[in-house]
Amino acid sequence: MLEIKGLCKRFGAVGAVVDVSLELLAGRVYGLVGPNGSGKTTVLNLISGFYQPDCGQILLRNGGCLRRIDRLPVAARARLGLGRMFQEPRGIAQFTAMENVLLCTLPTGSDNLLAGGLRPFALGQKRDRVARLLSSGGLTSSANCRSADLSYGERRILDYLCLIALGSHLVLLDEPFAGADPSTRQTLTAMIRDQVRRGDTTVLLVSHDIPAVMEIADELILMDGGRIIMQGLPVTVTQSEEYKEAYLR
Amino acid sequence: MDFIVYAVTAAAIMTVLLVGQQLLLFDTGIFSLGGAAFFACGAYLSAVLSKNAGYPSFAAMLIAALAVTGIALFVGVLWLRTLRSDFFALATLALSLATVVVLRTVGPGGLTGMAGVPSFGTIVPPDVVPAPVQTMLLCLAVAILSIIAVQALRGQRIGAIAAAVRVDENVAATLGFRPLLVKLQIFLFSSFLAALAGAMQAHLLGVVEPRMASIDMIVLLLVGTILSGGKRAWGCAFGAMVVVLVPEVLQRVFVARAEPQWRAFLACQAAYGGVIIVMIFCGPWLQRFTGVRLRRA
Repeated sequence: MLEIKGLCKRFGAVGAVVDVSLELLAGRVYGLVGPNGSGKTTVLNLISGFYQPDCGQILLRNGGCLRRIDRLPVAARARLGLGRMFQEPRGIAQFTAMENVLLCTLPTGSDNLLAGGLRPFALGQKRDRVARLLSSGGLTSSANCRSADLSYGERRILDYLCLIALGSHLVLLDEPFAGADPSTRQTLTAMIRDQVRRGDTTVLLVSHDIPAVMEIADELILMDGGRIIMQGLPVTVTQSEEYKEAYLR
Repeated sequence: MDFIVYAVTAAAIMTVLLVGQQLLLFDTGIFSLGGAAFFACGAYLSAVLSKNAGYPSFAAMLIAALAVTGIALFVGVLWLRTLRSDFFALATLALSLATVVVLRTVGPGGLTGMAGVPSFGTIVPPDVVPAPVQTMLLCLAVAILSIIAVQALRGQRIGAIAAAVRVDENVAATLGFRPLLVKLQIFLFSSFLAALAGAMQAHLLGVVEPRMASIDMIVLLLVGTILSGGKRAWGCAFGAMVVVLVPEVLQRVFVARAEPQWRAFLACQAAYGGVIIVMIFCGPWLQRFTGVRLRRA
């Protein structure tokens, strides 16, 4: 699904990401773990396009062929099926939950006045689909609440619903469980599992919540000092010497 | 009666200008001070086209507005890509001030500008409906049309996407929307309206002057845009009435009392300042009475 070859990124004298190579297979959940400052979020930002890499390549599988994406702008990567959830809820605050989901179902080219931007921003035929998405996240009753008025947990779920609505094949989640209560965590976990099981969605999630990651991830990737130290089954990684060393140092 | 016709016409033209500025500032979150530059360019271009090149007024206005949109495309591609919020405001401020200098030095008519710009022309014979009334009705029609257009735009996909871009450009990009494209399109539309308003103003007054892009015009635009409330396009009609009527009325009062003109000018600036302060502190009350809402940034 995604291939990263020899990726590096420096900020001044600090090598935030040093020679990272990765291969993510379709239909699997990967947990990216490591202490603060180990370069996890930088890797996510490089993949989604907020940073330009200093060296290396990022290739994304889209419809059967592998395509190099590391020079594409953020929006172009998103249209190739790359979804991104941020560390804090980022739904459009003054839109209702329903409008937020609807925004993500708009077809490509809706940002162009000449191509479809002048069609009404209304539910129309998408009513059922949006309603189904909202109910899958348990947000039916708050569909018409402004996203700013939702609880923190509901906003996290809403952000994830937006990714499903977008139809992303590769989903990057930055700390999806941070600050979420157990029930929100359960809902999110179930939604992620469900989405992975149904299609060829791949998930790369960054988290410090090791028990949650252990529960959901098929594989763990351990980073420290901008490098990938280890990759393997969750149990193998968390019981390894490298893991203890990375977190104790 | 003449004054009322003139005031309504001027307010209608100002409304056309303000709806574009309102859309740009409140929907897309672009703080641009370049509206005055496009206003003046539209005015000069239309004046030259009709007076020197002999185009009919209506054709001149349309060509001028489209040509200035071309200039805005250049400015937008160059600056929207590279400059962030406040730097974009500074760059467009420089654009407006530079326009004044350029028009003063190499513009037709130099320092004082150019007089004798042909009037709007008439559609029905002037003895049926007087020419100024025809002009007024035409300007009102354009103003109402632009209000409807902008208000409709807000309910379309592009309006929703613009709101997303304003709130968080990065999030909008991760949803697959191109922030630059969205901002550029709205910027072009607002520049078109500004240039069209400038062209209409030139044919209404019969005069174009370099100070059409001056700092006074920029202040007037800002005051009008703030007074428009930011949420509904018809709020611009209110903003336009205030910024058109305040100077006119003050000037009349000061002339009647034989006071020098600069005092009227100072009083006008003070009045604008007062109006903004009232808007900021009494926003919630005004909102209850008028339905116009000041949006917090």
